[in-house]
Amino acid sequence: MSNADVAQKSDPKSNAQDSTIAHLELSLFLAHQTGNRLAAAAALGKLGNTYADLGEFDLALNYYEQALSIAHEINDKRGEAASLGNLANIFTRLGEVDKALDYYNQAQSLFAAIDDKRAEAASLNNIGNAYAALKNYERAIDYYQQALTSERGLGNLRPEGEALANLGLVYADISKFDKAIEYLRQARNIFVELRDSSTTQNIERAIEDLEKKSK
Amino acid sequence: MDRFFRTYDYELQRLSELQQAHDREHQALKEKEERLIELNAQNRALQTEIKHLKRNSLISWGLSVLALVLTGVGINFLSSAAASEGDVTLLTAAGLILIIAGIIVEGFAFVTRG
Repeated sequence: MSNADVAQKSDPKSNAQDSTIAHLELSLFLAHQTGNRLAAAAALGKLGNTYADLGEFDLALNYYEQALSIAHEINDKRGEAASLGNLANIFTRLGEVDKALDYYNQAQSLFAAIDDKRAEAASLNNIGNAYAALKNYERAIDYYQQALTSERGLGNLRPEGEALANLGLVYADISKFDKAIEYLRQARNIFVELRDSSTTQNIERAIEDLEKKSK
Repeated sequence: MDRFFRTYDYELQRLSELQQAHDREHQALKEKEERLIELNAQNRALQTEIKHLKRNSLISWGLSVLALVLTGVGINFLSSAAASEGDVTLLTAAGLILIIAGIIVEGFAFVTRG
């Protein structure tokens, strides 16, 4: 066993993801066996989410596409919208931003039709990411601000922290370091409150880097 | 540092809706339970009231019967006194006392009936 393997085995997050994948594959098998299409789509989508989290974008795409296909067949609007949104996230990460924006728009229409405010707010943040990837920072800021307002309205602390961090990162991109640091500090406070030490440390490192740059 | 992407969950909203529906049902059941407790308390109070009324009614009828007997016996004494010869003072007095006692007892019966 290599050192990397040992490190991975001892990483609690990686172990948890392995266990999640095993459970989801079992769920998928049982869903297929019992002919439960909704459960199968959910398991496929969740497998996609787990592989996306691991950075395995090709696998994630594959699972999301299967989930989308089933959701469309059984007319599960929520599942269809979720798959479109998740696919768009992958396309943004892979640099296919125009395709991502098209998928986000389709997802937004479906989320609006089923009145899913949380998902609509999540989409605003993700569309902000897409515009940031296109280096259209003005529009990115606009979408992040809308996401921030929506998340605050819904009282969702973690998404609020993430929108604040994204605002911080986009201001860093346009070299407005003071504003970037201000947003990142607000984000850090939220992650401290959520006791998410890993994200807190990442944000603190970003703040330190920006403080050095701004001097 | 990477940007934060928000992934879309597949059953989260559905579960959240189910949870909300469950909470609403739970709240409705709780309200019904509270109303039931309130109605039970009212029912118990009414039962006690009915019990008191029944008891008072019984006492009242008992007193009325007693009053009727006393008055009847009193009248009978007075009739006997009127028909008798000789000293009937005691018989007359006893008859009058019994009639007065009958009237007083009937008064009590009337008060008890409410």
